[in-house]
Amino acid sequence: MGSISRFSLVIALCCVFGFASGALAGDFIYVPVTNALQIIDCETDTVVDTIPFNDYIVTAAPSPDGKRYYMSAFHSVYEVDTASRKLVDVHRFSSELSKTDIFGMAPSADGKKLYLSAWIVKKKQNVPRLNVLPPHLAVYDLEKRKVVKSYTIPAWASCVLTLRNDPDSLILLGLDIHKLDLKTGELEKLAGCLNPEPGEEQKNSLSIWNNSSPRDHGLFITPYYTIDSLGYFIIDRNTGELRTLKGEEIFFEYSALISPDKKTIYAVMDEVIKIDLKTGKSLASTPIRQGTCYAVSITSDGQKLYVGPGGADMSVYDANSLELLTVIPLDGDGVVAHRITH
Amino acid sequence: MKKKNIKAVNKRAKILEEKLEEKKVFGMADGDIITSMPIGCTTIFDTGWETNPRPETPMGNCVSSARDFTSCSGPCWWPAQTPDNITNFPDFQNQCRAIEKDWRNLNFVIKR
Repeated sequence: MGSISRFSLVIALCCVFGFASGALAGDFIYVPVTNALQIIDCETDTVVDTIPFNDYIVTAAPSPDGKRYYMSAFHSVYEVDTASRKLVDVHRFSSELSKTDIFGMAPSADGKKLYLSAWIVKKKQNVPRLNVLPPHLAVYDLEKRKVVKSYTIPAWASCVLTLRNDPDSLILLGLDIHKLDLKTGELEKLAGCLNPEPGEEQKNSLSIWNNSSPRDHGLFITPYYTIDSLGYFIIDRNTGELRTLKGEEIFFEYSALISPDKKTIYAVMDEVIKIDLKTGKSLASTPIRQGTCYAVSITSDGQKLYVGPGGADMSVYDANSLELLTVIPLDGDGVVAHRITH
Repeated sequence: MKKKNIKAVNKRAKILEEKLEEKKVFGMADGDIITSMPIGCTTIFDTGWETNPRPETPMGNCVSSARDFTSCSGPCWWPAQTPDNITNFPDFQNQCRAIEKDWRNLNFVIKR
């Protein structure tokens, strides 16, 4: 083969593989909205794909490797393959006689199971009596398509976290924060919100949003409020360590995340707020022009923030200056969003 | 529990007070109570916080022009304001995909 032919071949291969990898390379924001999942390319800040279905998603979680995106509509979990961007499965948990509501959800470290915080109400045909089961943490095997184990857990565990150093334990956040041993079913109370230890203040925390991304630093954060202050629960999923941080000022915050460099907290509700992770000092804040938002995502380089949904839009901010860069219209309202990097 | 400095002035409040005395009415967080209702703002979230006093409209969340109306319909269970999309109106979102724009299409009370 002559040098020109070899050069042509190299160029051709670069074009083929460059194009193939470029098609999915980079950061994408996955946003479940009413009746669809929309995918935003962080390079162009446009919606590049819409996967339709007929449901309203209340929580979602990417698999640890980012290859799957699971979305809970209370009664069912929708499974999306992120490489092909196709809806590949729907796992249904509810029936007429056994009504299941799923809220907290986390895929296992090996991606083979889903941990589901579930409320189950059973009834008998033509019998006007409901049998309300205790709240359960169900272990659902995705391949076998069935619940393989379940544990009774405290009521209202709205957020489930896996630990990277300990695949046999889960953290459950709700009225209080517990660690669940999956081998024994034993619960260890890590922190009290509604039921604090003597001398501690009660804390009020709506722990629903886990804005983490696959392969990120592993630091989970959620705001809490005492009667006169704002604070944060910070859980290191690499070690299982839980700590709290008191905020300098009180802002209304639905959810938060920690920047990739582990220096800054970004939180959202009616404003975007930037807080120093070390001190809790407020660094900057700006009202969200579009209105109330639930979730916040950040690009892997830490440069851009994606604030939303809530309403049918996603606002993009410069993470350093909190300058609004653009607003991306969406097809419907939503609750959660996650950045997945391919 | 009965508040010391609060006095019932109308019929409904008096009935409620009587029920409280008989311990027939109690807070969901008082004791180990399990209900079929999932978590939500009204159970683990300070409802005072949810009133969210903005300087401009909408003045509170969970109103039909507010951006969190749809998500308040299920888990939060604000029965006066939002459709119950868990049991009675599971597909109500089809009437209205983006509440700020489409709220006039909402028709969840009377099924047509």
